[in-house]
Amino acid sequence: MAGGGVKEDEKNERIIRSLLKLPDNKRCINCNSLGPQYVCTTFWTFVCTNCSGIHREFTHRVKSISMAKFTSQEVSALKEGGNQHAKDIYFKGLDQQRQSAPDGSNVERLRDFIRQVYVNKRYTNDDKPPRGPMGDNETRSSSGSRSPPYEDAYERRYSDRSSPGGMSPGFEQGNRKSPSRPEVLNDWRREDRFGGRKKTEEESHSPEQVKDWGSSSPPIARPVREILGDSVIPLRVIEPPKPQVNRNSDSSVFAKPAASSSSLTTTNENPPEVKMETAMSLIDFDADPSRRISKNSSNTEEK
Amino acid sequence: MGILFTRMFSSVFGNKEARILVLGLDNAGKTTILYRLQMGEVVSTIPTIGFNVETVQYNNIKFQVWDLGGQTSIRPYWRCYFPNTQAVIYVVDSSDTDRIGVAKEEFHAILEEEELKGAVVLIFANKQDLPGALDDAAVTEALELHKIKSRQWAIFKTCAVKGEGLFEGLDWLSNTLKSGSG
Repeated sequence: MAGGGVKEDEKNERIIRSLLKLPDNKRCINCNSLGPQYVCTTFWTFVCTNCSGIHREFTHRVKSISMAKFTSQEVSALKEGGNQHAKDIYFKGLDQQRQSAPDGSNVERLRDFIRQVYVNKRYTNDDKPPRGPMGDNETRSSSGSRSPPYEDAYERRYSDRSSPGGMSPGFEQGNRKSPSRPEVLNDWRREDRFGGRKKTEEESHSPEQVKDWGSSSPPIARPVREILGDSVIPLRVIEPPKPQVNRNSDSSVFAKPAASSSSLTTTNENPPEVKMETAMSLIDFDADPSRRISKNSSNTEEK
Repeated sequence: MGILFTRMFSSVFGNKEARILVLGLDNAGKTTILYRLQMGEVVSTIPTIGFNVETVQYNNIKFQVWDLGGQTSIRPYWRCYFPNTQAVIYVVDSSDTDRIGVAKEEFHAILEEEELKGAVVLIFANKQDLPGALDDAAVTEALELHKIKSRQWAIFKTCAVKGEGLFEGLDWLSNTLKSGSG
């Protein structure tokens, strides 16, 4: 799995570095900050560290240019792709004069921008009805028959997703100790997927649930991941969930928004410092490597 | 000497400390899990280059939890953190079926490590909320957990963003560590 050896890796890295010199790849496609350090392999774009984090929230895949290895296939996809190419697709309907890219320091706005561009695909194509590319996904996942295009469907699914539907009690049974052979025991996920969003009713250790387990089927390999994956992010729970979600006991989810919006930026910056101290005081046997690594870490931290 | 005394003292009163490594491929959810455990919140993360470390007090055990970056080129640095580790939490993105094979290889490479041979292993089959996520049975299969010999292990389905399964895992961990092997 290690790829085609050192030569190959070096060659691939060289190609990527040269791609980075193309005018459009010199800056993060989303926030325009200089010198992107990550590749979003879902869209084959070059993005900055912050945007890579946000892309991940939307289940888009990202890879660090210097800290990850790229296969030759990935490199050629990246050659074909790149920021210019992605802009032609995803930024097509975006009036770049009027709606400039969000400033990289505002995580909330960036997240919103990325959601609009890649998840809701708002700017992909002008001629199609706004529902366009989302449409197919929509119908498949939730009952996407409402016309108001993205936001509503999105919010709806979002609130669904984030509703702390409380399958947690079930997890106790999910626990397995070493010797036991696993039996298959989940139907909840399928329910989840196919619209049965009534977790709360069955929540507490209901015996019916237990019965169901026997009849479950092997895990579905990865059916709609690509498609659905895009729309699944919402559970990141950034905005306040809809009120009706609140009935659940998992109050932390609900309490989050207020705290998170203010702490978002700080969480990105604070931990490293704190950690470096902790690292040194708690441990000495590997003081060297940790310090070296954590220095790297603070490098990437800066915008 | 002083340290020895403190150790004896705290072992009498049941306050254990445990050094835990959180490992797994990039984007498995390690950092999200760490902060979910520590603050009970979903934080916005960026790919970890280096590490994060926090202490989590749970069930009378003070867990010192190290979350190490998972990108390919920095995985070799994991070994710098192996000594004196009581437990490894191995996090798998259950929805990343493309790389489950890589996850398996990294996992078994960890198990081979001399310095970790006393460590118990807790596997989190994370991202259970995502469509197409493998369940714990499937992850058990994919990681070939049945091949594990002479080591205590457990697997839990988790969803870090909802906070599901994490503390069940810590329960197992604290019980296992208390009952001797730690």
